[in-house]
Amino acid sequence: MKVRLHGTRGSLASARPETSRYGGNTSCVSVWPSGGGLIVLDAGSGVRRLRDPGNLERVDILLTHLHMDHIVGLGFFWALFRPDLEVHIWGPPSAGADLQSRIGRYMSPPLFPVRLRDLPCRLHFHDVPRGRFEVAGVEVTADLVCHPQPTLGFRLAADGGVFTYMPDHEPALASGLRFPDTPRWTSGFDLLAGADLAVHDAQYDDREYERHVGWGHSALSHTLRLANDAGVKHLVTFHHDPDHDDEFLDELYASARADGSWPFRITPGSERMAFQVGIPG
Amino acid sequence: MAQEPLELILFRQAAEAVDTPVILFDAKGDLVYYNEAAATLTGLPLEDNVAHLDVVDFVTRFRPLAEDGTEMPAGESGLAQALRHGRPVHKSHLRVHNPDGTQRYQNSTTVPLRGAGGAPVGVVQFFWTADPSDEDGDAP
Repeated sequence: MKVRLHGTRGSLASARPETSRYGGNTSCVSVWPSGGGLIVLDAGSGVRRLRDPGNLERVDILLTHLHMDHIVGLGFFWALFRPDLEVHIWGPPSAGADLQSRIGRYMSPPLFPVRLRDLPCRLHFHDVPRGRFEVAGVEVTADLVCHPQPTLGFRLAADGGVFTYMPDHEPALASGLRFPDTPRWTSGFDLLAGADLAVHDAQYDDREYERHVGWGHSALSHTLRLANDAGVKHLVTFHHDPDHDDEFLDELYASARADGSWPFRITPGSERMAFQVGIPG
Repeated sequence: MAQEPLELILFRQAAEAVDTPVILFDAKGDLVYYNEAAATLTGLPLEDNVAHLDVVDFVTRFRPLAEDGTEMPAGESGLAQALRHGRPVHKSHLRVHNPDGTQRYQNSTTVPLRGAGGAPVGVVQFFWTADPSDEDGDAP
């Protein structure tokens, strides 16, 4: 399957000349299985960069959670405005309200001029089951991860490869002073274990993390240790802080590479990047 | 070993931070964690994963007594009831045995934990030594 990054910024879009290399759009990743179809992981502002191939009958959008930076692009995504397209939106379940109602809080006046019922596509909403399910011929495993409000991580297996997407995650909070803890007691471990490619939160450096404990995001050092313990083969860091410009990120990753020789590839995620996971179609 | 559900991971972290005795069982009824305060009160070893007990083993270890002084069947304990029925259970002034054979009064509140979608993930029990003269059972 082909994995493409369309938005790698966290919390708030950060479009300015100083962020043009890594990009300023918020979280969005597309997955193109070799057998056809399209899976969109989160619909931050980066979903606007996802081009319509013109030959789809169905699109599945898997939302890790409903924080604005992960759904703000929904109202501007071409798929929702295609009357010939079936669009399935998946999100974390809630005891309080169904997914359609929760998303409708954003996509309705006064926050947005277009209501869900006005969208031309054939729209379906699903609660993500905890465990395995199949979408577009891809086996997806979903589980809750440590982040405020119910938040999912996704593990996608297809074409002989495994890709894990965990854009918002604070494993150190769940483990406290024990971090890194044993696999049994580490949030997100099973989803990451042995992944060929993992996209994971790395919003802060260590100093910043100390001021943001409990905010739901990782320091880069935590992400590196977790990826190492989980046997990830290629780590792509994600959810860059909106205040981190290109120069800051260059220095952060140069330091990380200089500090330790990790047994896996490390790529700071930027828009327009693409990766092949498993056997090409 | 497979990763524990996030709910148990987070409860374990919270239990670490408090002095109230707390024990955690998974949805199958196996003991997965107890904090330092619980270890002190029960005499269980503090090292992780040493006490391989299920609910029946755990309750039997402390030989709770019914009001008539006979030993309470493990199935009538707060832990077993919460697991079986999926409802919170509070027990006041339950007489239990200490590791050294002496007895004490104990209050406990056992709450079943449900994950997203309502699936059971385990039970958490808070317990503390009760003052025999405190009829309401609310004294710490």
